[in-house]
Amino acid sequence: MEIIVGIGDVKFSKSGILKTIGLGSCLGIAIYDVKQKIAGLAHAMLPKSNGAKTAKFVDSAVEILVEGITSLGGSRANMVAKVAGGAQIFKHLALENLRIGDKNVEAVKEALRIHGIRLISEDTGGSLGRTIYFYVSDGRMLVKYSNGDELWI
Amino acid sequence: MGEINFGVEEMDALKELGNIGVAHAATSLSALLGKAIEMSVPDVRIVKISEVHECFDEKVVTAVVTSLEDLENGRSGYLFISFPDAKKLANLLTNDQSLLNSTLMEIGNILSSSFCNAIADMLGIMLIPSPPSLAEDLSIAILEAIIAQIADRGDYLIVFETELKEMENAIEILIILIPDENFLGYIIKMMGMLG
Repeated sequence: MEIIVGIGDVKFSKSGILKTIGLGSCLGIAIYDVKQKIAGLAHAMLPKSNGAKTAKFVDSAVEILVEGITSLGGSRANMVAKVAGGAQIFKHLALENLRIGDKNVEAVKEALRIHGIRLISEDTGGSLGRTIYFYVSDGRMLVKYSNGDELWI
Repeated sequence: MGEINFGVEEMDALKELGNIGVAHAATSLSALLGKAIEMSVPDVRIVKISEVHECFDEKVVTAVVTSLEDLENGRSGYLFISFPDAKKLANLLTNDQSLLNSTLMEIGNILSSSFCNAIADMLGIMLIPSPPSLAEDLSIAILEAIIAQIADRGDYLIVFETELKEMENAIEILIILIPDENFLGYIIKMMGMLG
């Protein structure tokens, strides 16, 4: 069973696969309770929230993920994170404000530190779009690049 | 722009403005290529950001992004121009593969400038397109950067979409206009007065 996470959205599951398509500068943030096997995946666009608590923003996405997994019976001590995305896909960057990939990656590290969640693996930066699949049963994450290459993290 | 509830009139206003922009872009492209260009009936859609992925297939495209800047009121929106047949299109102008990207950038430049000029004239404003930024990737991965700029304030996008077609070589170009909240309000106001 594949559950698709839209842009700026977050989904939780205790089974199946959480998937998000076409991560460019955005970040796919997966948080996983390794004991209870509860996962949440967010597709966040911008580093810092403007006050609104939605998964559009990296910092609030982490908060929503932690709270969501907790409310499903998980506990913070067993949570780990995997992160992918934050690419710079424009070859000739004429618009400075399109350069948000790096800022998103910095923001997620800070947010995870604040919530005391260990980042166990990441695949960030670069110049390719990514589609990611998080396997809830065992916590593996598959990163498929837009050029067809694949990487397990 | 948390919730959008547009009437037929507002959608028509945007459609008409986009139409004028695309018609001028098509004329410029036709002059550049020396070929007849056809345009599809434009489509205006209100798309929830979390559902954008349903509108695009998972194919790699070459695309340029430009921002349209209203000199008096700041940034106004973005144009996303994708070239699913990038190589075929560039080959109409040059056979030098090393010039592929710069040829596409130039085509993007011409399309966005003529689009921009036409709608600025119509609205009676100064609207300047930024130089194009080029990318080759999944449509969504490219669009994300634009969506992120708009998403700060709302959960919905207004998407104006048209296809340009060069029949002889079956080359398609997709033009999408995504106005920001202020610009959209302005378009509706101005088009209402004109109508």
